[in-house]
Amino acid sequence: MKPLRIILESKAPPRVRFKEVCASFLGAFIGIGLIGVISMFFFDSRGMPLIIPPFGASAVLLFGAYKSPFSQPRHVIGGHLISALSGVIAYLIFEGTLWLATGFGVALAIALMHLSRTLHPPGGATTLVYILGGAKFHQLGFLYLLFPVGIGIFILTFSAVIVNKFLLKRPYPEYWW
Amino acid sequence: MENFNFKPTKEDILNAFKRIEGYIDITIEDFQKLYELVSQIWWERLIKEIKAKDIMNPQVIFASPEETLEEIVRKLVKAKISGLPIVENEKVIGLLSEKDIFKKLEIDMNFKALSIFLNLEKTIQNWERLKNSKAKEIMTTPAITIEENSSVEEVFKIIKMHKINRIPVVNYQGKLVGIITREDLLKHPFFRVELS
Repeated sequence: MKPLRIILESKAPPRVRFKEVCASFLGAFIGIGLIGVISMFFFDSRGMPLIIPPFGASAVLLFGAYKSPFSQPRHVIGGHLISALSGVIAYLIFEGTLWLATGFGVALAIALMHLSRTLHPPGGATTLVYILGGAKFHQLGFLYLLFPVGIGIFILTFSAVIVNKFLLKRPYPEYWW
Repeated sequence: MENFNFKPTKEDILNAFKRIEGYIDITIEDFQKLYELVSQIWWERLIKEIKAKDIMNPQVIFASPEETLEEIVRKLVKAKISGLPIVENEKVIGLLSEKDIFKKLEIDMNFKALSIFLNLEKTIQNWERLKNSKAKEIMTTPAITIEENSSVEEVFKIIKMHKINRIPVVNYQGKLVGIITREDLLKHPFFRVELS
């Protein structure tokens, strides 16, 4: 019985209501789906999809933990842009040494997000996507901040505001800036 | 009420989490720590903001310096209080407490009633000798008072520092406007914690 008790007596915050689970599911489906559709129609044919993995992590926060400071527009947009910039800078400096570029890039992203009060955990992935993404990303240079990061995160945040606030009647965002 | 716990338990926090819609990304332990810190900061601010006049009892029972000890003792017994300020021209010139009276009557403070029984004759002699003494002759001076706009923090500081049970509250002209007693403060659970 002891292992069962350990599982049941978790110190984790309590499970949200089923209505919340459904709302988060629906929100993420619409938000990520919208970027996917836009990507399919306008970007995939050019060999550069709009959707990148960190957006999935952002969607978890935007729709699954919309009350968190991490999920507010300042953090989502600011955090991704700062992390993208960190990735580009780290790659430019340590192009030949991948381990150094990745380590420095993520560290720089965290430091800058802390300093600018825009901490957004998926940002770390945005940094790595650029550094590890290969020539397709490297040729973008600083444009990476605009595409796919800037445009993608703008669409995701915009859809989070619309879906959370108007469709799911959730109090989001708690603050913009 | 004596052992009442003002800190929320983990179960309280868990129940509060369940009442809020949406996922709250803070651990229960962190929330508890945060709550305690917020309460402490809030309390520190509050005792600076609340003024003596906000908590004082404006209906003060006092005596004039010409009143006799017997008259004052009757006043204390009737009002069920253990001390009063001595007032002349609306200004507090001294304080007279049960403690001062016992001391004058040579009654041991630790065994009040028993001490009277053991030294009954002597106590009666002392009482006969002193009962017509005037308040101004036996009161404690100078009276420790507090200005009505002083903070409650200041009140606590003075009560603790001078180990007194009551403090008359005066206005900017030094006129008596109220009184704060330790007994009244102890009735309030938050103040009790501060005084302990």
